Amino acid sequence: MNGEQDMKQYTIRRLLIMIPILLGVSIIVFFLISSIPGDAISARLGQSKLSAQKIAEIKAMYGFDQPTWKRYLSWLGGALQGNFGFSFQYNLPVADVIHSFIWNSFLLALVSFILELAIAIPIGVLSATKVHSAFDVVFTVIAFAGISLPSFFLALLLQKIFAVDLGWMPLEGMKSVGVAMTGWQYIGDVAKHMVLPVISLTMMSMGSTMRYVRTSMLDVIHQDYIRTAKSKGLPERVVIYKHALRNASIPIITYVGGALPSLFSGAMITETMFSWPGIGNVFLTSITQRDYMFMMGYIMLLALLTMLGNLLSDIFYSIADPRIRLK
Amino acid sequence: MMKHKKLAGATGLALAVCMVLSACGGKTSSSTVSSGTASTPASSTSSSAGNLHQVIKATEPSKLPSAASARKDTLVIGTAKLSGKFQQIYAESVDDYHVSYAISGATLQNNDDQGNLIDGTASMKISDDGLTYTFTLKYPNDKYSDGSPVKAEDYVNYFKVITDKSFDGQTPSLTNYSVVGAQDYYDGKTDEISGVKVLDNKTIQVKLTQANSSAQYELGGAYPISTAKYGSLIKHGDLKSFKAINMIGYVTNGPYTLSSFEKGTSATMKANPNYCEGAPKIPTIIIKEVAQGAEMQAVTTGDVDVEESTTCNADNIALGKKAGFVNMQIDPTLGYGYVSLNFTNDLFKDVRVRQALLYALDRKSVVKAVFGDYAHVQNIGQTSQSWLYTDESINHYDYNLQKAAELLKEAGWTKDSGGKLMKDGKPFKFIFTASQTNDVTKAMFPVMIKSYQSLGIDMQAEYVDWDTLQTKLDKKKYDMLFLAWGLTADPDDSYVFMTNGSQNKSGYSNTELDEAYKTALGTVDKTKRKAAYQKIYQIINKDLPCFPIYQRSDLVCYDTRLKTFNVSPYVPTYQQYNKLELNG
Repeated sequence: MNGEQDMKQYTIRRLLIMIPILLGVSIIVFFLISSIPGDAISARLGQSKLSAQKIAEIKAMYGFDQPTWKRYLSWLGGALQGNFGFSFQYNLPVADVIHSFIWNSFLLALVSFILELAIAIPIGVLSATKVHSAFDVVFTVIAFAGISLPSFFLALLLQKIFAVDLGWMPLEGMKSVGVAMTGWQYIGDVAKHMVLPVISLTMMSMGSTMRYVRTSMLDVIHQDYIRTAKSKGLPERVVIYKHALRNASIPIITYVGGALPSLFSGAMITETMFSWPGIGNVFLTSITQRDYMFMMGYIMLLALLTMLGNLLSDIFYSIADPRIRLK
Repeated sequence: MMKHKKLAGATGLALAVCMVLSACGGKTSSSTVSSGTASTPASSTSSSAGNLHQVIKATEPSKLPSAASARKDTLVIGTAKLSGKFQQIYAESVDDYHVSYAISGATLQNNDDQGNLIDGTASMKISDDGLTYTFTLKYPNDKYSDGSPVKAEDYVNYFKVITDKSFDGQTPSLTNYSVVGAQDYYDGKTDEISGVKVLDNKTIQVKLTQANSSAQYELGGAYPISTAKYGSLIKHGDLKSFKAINMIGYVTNGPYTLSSFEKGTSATMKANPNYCEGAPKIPTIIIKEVAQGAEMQAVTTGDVDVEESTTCNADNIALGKKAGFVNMQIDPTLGYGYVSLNFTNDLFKDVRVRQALLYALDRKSVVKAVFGDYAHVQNIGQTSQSWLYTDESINHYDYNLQKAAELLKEAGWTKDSGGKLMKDGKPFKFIFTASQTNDVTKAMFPVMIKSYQSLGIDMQAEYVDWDTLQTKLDKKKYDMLFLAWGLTADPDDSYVFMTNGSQNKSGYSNTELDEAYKTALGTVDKTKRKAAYQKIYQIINKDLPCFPIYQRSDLVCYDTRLKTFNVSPYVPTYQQYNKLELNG
């Protein structure tokens, strides 16, 4: 009862602390972005036939002639009212652009994240219990291969084998165009388009998670209480999965909590390679097009998600390990 | 790397049919050719002109993948990235043109495959003094997609929009062409542009105060904007609501209407049965986003039927040939890559020095190394397919270190005991800035540094991102830069090379050239214009305000589903959807 009360207070406090932090982040990010040479108007019109005077007029129309601090205040004023400005890339409000793309990224990221955990945790645990066995060595090699393969290379390889040569999977995109589909047929089509990007994302992230789990498990397995548990005759399964894994899961939870923003941030390279309509792809373009407002909106969203992820990790911590008290 | 290329593609700007376009960092919208007779053909030593246009026909149409043959009434065209800015008047990228050009409206004038203007929805007559343009509409019964009539005054809406102070698209306003009353309209003093008049229901007249041969392209690019439907949105001085028009279901007299747009995926267009030249034969055209670098694969797997931005190289051509059902057409790109010099830097003020630097640059080897047979060394700022192209009295500056050394000596530069080139106690030293995504400079820098070093010149290379490059250019904080220009039907590049031209960012000034531009812009007679432009190209070739480097080739791929397909750099697919036809 008391613990629940503590947790509630703690959560509220943490949420309140986020406000000044977000404010600070927004100031730093806004000024950093503004200090990059160029601006959205120059990026769009700098090479056009328009006169310098006309371009200056257009800049003034969008407030680019104002000093950075003034532009920041007007951005902040809008943001507090839920208006995150206008994205030049799509000529739409930033929130609309984020909304249009983020769920596609989320879908891709979530599926590969679940797969990643489903594969990496058992393998990581097994590797730890069978240190230096053939199993461990094979998966260690696979893990490092996955970590070190550049994502564009992996994506290209998958595309070449499964889409171009074998023709089993679609090359790119999120769904087939030019064919009318509804219901399950549509879901099936999207699922089919997801296969290669999901494999590519999972293979890349799986390795580090696997290593992470393996290391955590190894730490725990060598603890005294595990030896005690073993020596009092508990079966290996119980020792590993009940006692060791629960303790090893604390660092893993931090890791999973930290993954929250990445579920929404989009995978820039993979999305671009597979022409997946995700937010990572849009963010990348926003940099080259100096789409300040979009960059701001996106980065602030990630900042918020990162903090929420940390908070979630802390809360999960206390659930996994009652010794940890949140205050 | 891949991602950068894609972005470069998306940033490549281009304007309406006839507008001049942008430059771009990467291999985007670059280059003009110098095919001509003696200019350096990539593969052989002569007859290069013939090699510039090449068609490779599909050999095994039966290999068409089922994904493609299953699409009965639908054509899928690949493009890099759709931003949804589908009002042609506001469109910014060639990618978006795939949609915007067809759905916004049919223009008064079009252009042929040499860049000549031809009739669109109207014939154009220019008075001998070049001051009065008369457009006579050819289709008195022209209808919009909703069946309502197209009126002559609807074309005037176009002029009003681009001349509005709150218009923030790339199309220059009529004030740029000294149209009578345009400035007053811009300043909000009048509610009509007095120089633009509807004489009767099929005649539109535009008056200029000063002849400008470039105006015909701008005026001819006008399309009607329905007054009945959108007139109330065109508020003088406030185009916000007009700009925000939802283009799905937009009422147009163009060949297609937009039926859906899914951001990041595709746009679907339906044939407009009321189109003035008859309903287009393909009922549905889908423009689909394809990842940069995967264009050829998208065609060979049957994902798309047409791809115009495949990188033109031997690998892709081999892939297309292997697929069997892919037709390929190779043409010189409308644009060219060039080196810009900063004229506020004393180093480059002497023409002999500029010539020496160009002689000492082995462009042929660089171009060959980067593009193989699919690019040419460029010598003038015009494409070989243009009606204005010339190779007469054009110096090709073939690689010649000795000549370069002589010219530098003439200009007063001598090597000191350490082999450094010096003049008045100062060394010949500069920095070359390029966009990090540019493949040409990556091959060019080592070649350049080596040649220049042998002359005693100290050149250093630096890479920056595209916007930084532009900022450096704008602020004249550079010595040498690598850039590219796009070309359009409108040959006018005076704003690049004329003293104080809006895009003359290098500070170059040459009164002889200024006069030549005035002559070219001041006459509408085609023979005189041609002569004037030839003179311009010759002056530039001699005085070298910049170093033209290369013009690469475009590779257009299309599968055997298409029965008729006749594109050229000046007339890309999006300008002729209505002429396309599918087999069976």
